[in-house]
Amino acid sequence: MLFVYLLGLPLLAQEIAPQQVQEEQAAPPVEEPLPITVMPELIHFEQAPYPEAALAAQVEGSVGLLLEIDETGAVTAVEVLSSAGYGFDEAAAAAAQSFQFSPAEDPTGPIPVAIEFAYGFVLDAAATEEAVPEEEILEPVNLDGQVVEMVTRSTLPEMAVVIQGTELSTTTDSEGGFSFRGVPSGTWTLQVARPGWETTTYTVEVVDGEISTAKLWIKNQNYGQNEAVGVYRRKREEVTRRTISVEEIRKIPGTLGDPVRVIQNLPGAARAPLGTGLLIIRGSNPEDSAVYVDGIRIPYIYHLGGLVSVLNSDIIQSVDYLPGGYSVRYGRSLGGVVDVTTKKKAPEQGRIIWSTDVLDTSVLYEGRHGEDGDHHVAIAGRRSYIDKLLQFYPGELGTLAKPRWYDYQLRYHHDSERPFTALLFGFDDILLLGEGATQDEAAEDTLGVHYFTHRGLLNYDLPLSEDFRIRLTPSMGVDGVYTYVGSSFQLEQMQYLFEMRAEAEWTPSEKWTFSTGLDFLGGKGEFEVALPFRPVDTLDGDPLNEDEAITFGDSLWAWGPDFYVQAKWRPLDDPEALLVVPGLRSSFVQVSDLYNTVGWDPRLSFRARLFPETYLKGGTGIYTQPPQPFESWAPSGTIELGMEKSWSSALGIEQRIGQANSIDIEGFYKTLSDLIVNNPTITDPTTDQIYVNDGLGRVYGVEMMLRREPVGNLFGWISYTLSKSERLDYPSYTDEEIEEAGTVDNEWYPFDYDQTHIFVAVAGYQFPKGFNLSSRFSYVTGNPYTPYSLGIYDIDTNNYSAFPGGDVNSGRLAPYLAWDLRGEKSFVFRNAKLDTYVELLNLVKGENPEFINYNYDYTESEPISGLPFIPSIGFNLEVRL
Amino acid sequence: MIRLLPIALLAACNPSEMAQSWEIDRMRILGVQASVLDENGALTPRAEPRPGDVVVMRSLTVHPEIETPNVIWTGCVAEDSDSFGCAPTDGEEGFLGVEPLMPIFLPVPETILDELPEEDKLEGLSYLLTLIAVPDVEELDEDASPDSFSNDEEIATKYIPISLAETPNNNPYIEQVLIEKVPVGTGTSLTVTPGQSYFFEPVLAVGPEEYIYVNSQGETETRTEEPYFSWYSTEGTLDRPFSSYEANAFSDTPGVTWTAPADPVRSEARLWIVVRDGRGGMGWVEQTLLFE
Repeated sequence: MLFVYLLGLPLLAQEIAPQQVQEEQAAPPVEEPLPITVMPELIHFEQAPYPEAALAAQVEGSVGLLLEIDETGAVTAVEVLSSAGYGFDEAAAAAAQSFQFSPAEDPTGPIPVAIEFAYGFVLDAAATEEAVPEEEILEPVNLDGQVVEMVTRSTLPEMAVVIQGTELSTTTDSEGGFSFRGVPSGTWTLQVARPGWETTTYTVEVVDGEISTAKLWIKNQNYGQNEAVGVYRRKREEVTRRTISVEEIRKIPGTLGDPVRVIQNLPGAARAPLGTGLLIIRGSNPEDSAVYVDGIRIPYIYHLGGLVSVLNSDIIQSVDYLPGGYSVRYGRSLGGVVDVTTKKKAPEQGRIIWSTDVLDTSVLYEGRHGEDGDHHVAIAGRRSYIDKLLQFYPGELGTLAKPRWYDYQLRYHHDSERPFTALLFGFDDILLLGEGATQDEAAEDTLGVHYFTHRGLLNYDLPLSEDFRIRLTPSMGVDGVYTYVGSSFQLEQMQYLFEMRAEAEWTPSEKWTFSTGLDFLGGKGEFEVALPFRPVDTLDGDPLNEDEAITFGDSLWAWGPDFYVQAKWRPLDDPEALLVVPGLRSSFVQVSDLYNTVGWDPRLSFRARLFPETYLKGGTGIYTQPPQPFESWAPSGTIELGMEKSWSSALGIEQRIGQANSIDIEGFYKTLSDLIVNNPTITDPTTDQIYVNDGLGRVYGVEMMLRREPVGNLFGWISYTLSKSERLDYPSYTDEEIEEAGTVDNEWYPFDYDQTHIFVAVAGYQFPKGFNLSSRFSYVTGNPYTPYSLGIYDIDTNNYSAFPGGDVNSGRLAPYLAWDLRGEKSFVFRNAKLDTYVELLNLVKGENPEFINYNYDYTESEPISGLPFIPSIGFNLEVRL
Repeated sequence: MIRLLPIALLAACNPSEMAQSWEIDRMRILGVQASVLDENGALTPRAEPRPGDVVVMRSLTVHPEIETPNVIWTGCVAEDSDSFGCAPTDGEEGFLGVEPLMPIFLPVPETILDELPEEDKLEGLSYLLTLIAVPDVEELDEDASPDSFSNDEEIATKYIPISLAETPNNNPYIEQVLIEKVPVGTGTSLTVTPGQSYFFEPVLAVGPEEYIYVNSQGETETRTEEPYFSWYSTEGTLDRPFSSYEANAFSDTPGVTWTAPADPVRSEARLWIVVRDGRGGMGWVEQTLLFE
């Protein structure tokens, strides 16, 4: 009898859209992607006959399959991803149709998924199996054992075990166990082999009259990719939602393994100036985009320098990037959204992950506790050490940069029918320059910044019935920003926040799903400014009177509930054929007793399947954003400000090309109104309003993403954005009024981060023996800038004031061009895995100016280039407990 | 905006080859001194006139090649100005003269402070001077504007305080210059060795003045001037463009190290030391340095 063995390589688990009413009812009440908590396991393997052609040719082969598995674990579709010829494809596909898996699950229960399998055919094993004499089976078992995966220590079913030098072989059962009968006494070598796993041999001693037992460890060459991170949920509600797997992200050069940094490689995301870490999405100003962690908003997602995100990479479940056209669940922003979802559950085996690179070191512990293992705990921390290393510098450093950052995360999750999660996280960054500055305290000559954020949140998931769920997420936190520019300027800002997000979803029928939510935000903000002069005198233009140090500050409180309702309508029998999602969000904010403002955000999106693998998608909607805290400051005691508004529309098409490739093209147009700008007619800030709602803007363009998902050894994408973003600050004022106010010309001009072309190509390939090689190429149009041609000399202060040599933002920096390379080698041990990597950033680079530097009188200028060629190394050690 | 701080470090870390502020490689206005005339028409050290006074003004305008550049002077009360000086509506009334073709006088109107409340007259107001330095005023295009100017032209502004202040506000005066701790006469010529470094240290005739200041709450404070120096040179290099006030915690010395070029292009270098008292008063000296 021919022996055929199978390997399950769940390289990719991909959720399949619900096909039936029950699936829809079981869907989570919120739109965010939930983690796959239980991966499907093969519980019935169907043996395929060895193809005659292959047998005749004496060839072996392995067929790559993509299996779609429904909620019951049954295989509903099989597609051949990689062909082996000789009839292997047909045989493997036919056999796989009869496989049975245990269902995959997310927190809501069983879900449909897709996984990749490699179906292998081996001649030697077949011959061995065929040669086993029938009568030997009746002899007693005298050698048994278990096959266990290295690192995870999971027992492995359906593994082929061969005793070398004999004709004895077998396969492991569902618990990874194996046994042999009638093994002659002596020393034998056991071999475990399987495509995608490293062939492993063990020596065992068999003694007459005794049963020898062996535990065989085997290393999965694709370890790490079968974690619940290879999730690609096609969220139908969003016009554009892009989710990239964490493992895929970690192989991208320039990210230093940080999943959040991948956003900078996706369509619509403009390149941020070096070191800023700003989120610039579809040309919008950075403050117009929002960052969420588990549904609550945080001010920054990157540490100082923009190289590392403020969350431990291994605590992140997914990073959703929504450049526009997002649903009413998100609000208070005109730009894009980045939604980071943290993991809730710990792996079955506890683990410690230690990550070190040239910038910082982080440590994470995850584990399950309690008798039933339903108490999931994670603790993580990170600290940079550049400041510590500088202490050992033997020379005189003089004025010295002292960067330091740290972050922490504490997570508790109770896994039950009503799951509960508590998350405490925060970060603290400081950068001080100056001889008088110590690491944690600014001095009079300090140039620096210190900012921090701390948040605590609870998450209750309450399934009240099969078709009705409520999720509550209250949170509290504090943000602080201290800015020091020597003794001439100091700014200290604090805000204390309380947020409450409550969401409910009801599915009365297979065609309708209704959801509603409350997004409450309240808090108090304080600031204090120390200046060496009175601003009022600045406006008088009289520097000789500007000799009075002054400190002023204020505190404001603000609160506002946002409500939203949304319907998902699937009017056709095929739920995938058409989805229409109308929604409405109301936004309200009350700022102290100064003013309040209301915004109404109606939004509509649709997604229609034109052909089996072709989707047309689009949406339009209003987005409103309340004034920034500093814009609400009113020394006069009165202020009138309203919401900034945008009307955003998008239309696009998605085409899947096989199961691994896809192309996504989308056009967008956004008009902005009531943008908050400086009051051009201000004469005295103690009596006049500092800001007014008057600006207009428009952003339009096309985004394209051609993607190869990590099926097999190759992954990557090509991302291209062609866009234009521009603004007009004072449409309500005449040119004469503007000229009289002495401000800039009243004409349309590009946004500060308008980048016409953004091209990023990413590719990675996984080689045998744990080697990975990946590369990234970037080409981005330079940012606009306002050119200056000369300076007007102020004799009293010995300084030059810049005189514009052109219109606002009429200059353009040279393009950014860079090619990065990353090599990675993984070492897998019985209970540990070590990933080491080398990154070569800017291996090839252009001039890459970050900004224009002028000389003292603005008569000369030179571009200041960004990072030079930088080699970087690091490692990631995971130890299973 | 705080996020932009790290990229500002890039500029600090990148050595620049652009011209430094102490390099006199083009037309520069380095200072303006306003001196009140006494009733006999003689110069006084007073820098802050009262209504009815007559002020005579001079500029320190230099060019590496042109010995006597022309400087067009205009002026107006500061509150009538815009960001770049006196508004065009000032017309002929704002024209003060062309230096060195004529002396620059400012007769301060007797009524200039009349519209101020009595309590504000001690602080007074400012008169804004706008100076345009050109190689030759005869060749100046009537339609010239700042964006058409070249490196051989410069625009500068300065405020002249006018008040009834009782406390003195005199121009600072550099009495002598120490070179390598040795006093030398101001304005004298010295012989220097190419490639050699010299430490210049100016010495003021009198210490900083104390004065009464009326703050934004209307309270009076007794303050002390904080004079500081800036340096300029046509040849060689200076190790810093300006000093801190010596009473500041971060000031070391009001001196500067000048290094002669190893291979001088010209036969001599000119070095200027300018002092500001922070209240509008200014003074300067020039040293001529002859290469061996």
